[in-house]
Amino acid sequence: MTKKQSPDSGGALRALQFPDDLAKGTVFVSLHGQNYVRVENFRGISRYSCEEIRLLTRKGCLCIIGSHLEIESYTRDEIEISGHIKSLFFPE
Amino acid sequence: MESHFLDFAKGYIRIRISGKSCDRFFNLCAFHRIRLWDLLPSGEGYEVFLLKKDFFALRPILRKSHVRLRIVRRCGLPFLLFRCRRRKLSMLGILASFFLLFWLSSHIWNIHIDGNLALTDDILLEYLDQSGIFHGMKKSRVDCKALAASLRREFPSLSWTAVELTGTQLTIHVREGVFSDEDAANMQESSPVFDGFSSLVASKSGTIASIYVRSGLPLVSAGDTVEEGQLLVTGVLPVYDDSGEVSHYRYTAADADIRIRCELSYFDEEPRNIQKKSYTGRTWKRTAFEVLGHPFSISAAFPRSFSADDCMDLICDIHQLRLPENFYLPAFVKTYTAKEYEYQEICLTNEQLLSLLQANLQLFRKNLEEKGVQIFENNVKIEWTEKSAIASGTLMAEESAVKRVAGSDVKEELPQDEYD
Repeated sequence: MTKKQSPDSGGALRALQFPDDLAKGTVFVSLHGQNYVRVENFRGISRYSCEEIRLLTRKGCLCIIGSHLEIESYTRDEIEISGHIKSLFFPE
Repeated sequence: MESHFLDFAKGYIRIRISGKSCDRFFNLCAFHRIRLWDLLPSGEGYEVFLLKKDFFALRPILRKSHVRLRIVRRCGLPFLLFRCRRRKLSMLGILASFFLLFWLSSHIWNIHIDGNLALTDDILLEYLDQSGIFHGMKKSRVDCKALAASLRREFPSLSWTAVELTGTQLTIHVREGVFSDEDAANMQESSPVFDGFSSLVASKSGTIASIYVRSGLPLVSAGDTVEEGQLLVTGVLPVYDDSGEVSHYRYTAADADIRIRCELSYFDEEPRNIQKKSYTGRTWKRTAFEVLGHPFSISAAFPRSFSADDCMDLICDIHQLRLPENFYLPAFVKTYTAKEYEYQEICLTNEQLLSLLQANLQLFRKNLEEKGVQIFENNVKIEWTEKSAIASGTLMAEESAVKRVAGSDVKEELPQDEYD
């Protein structure tokens, strides 16, 4: 059974002026200085420790490396992380 | 801030979870719309806050993620009420105190008047009482603008009024005008129009020291002796035709600065033997409280009752309780102090009598000078008798002793020879 191909909805979405994070499910990261970051549109937590937080997104992972990392708030829609953030990247 | 308050009202719990799949636990909580906050690693596991209602929905999540859970702390109003279930009355008391403070803050408990001199506080408070403004009334019923306007209408001597409501205090600022009611009425009588005019007459007998006329026709000049009631400046101005005869009269309000030098009589007598009040040092104190108009006392009453014949000074200090700034409360602390005194017969020496008479004369002169009267000669002599000392004599003073009268009240007699 062949996998049903989803129709190309990029043109339709652009025509309807849907925002990218809503339409394509891209992760939304707001970094405030070096001490606070808010991430939206993610799937869940893969790993959590004081030095590393790994989040699952629709298209991969998001890694946050730092020290004294704390999760201030965690809901299905967004996660707020505070602490000393050293790096933030998408591993391959 | 609001979310913290709501969380406190609903109640929240701090739990510690430990196990192999704590991450799965967090993701399952997020999937089931369970909000977590302040998530921190703690030893082998993690600690996190969640709402009390969400805690009861954790059972299937715990089973799926194979984690163990332990409650670390319970916070919020539901747990506080449960802990205080045996102390219902104290909780009710705390609640009642909040409601009482709220109720007290919505009423006026202090009315303060400042700037009044001739109009006493009692007169103004009586008028306020008649106007429906009194201690204990609701703040929402006070219309500051209307009250200020009504005060100006009722008391014409007030040149400026302002009403301010801050906290539980109603402050009324007033400023009294320079002129008295009589002067204002006199000024209103004068009118620079043809159907009414005014003239200036002397209010005292004396000699004209200086005269400066701004409008009107002067009938006297500097150096003239005038009697009380004599016309000084008339508001009737004759207008002459080409032949030099009076064709008609023009009417105006006379206006002039006239200084009259007159003699003021002075008399003062001080007895030689006086009774001086001296305090014996015996005092009694009593403290009383008054809340919402109901008095009660916690200290003992005075040791004996006082009659009108007792030589006692009874002083009452009243302090109204208030929270900082302008939050006055309907509670008063009254301290009564009774001081006993006795009269002592003292015979004054001549020097003491002299200084007393001189002090009285100085005060008399000071009062006159404050009214604009200039004293330039003092002919007061002191006479000594067996029982007293008498200061009597005259003071030569210079003042603006003129009075404005309506034109119809004055008989006009123009000196014809001046205009030939």
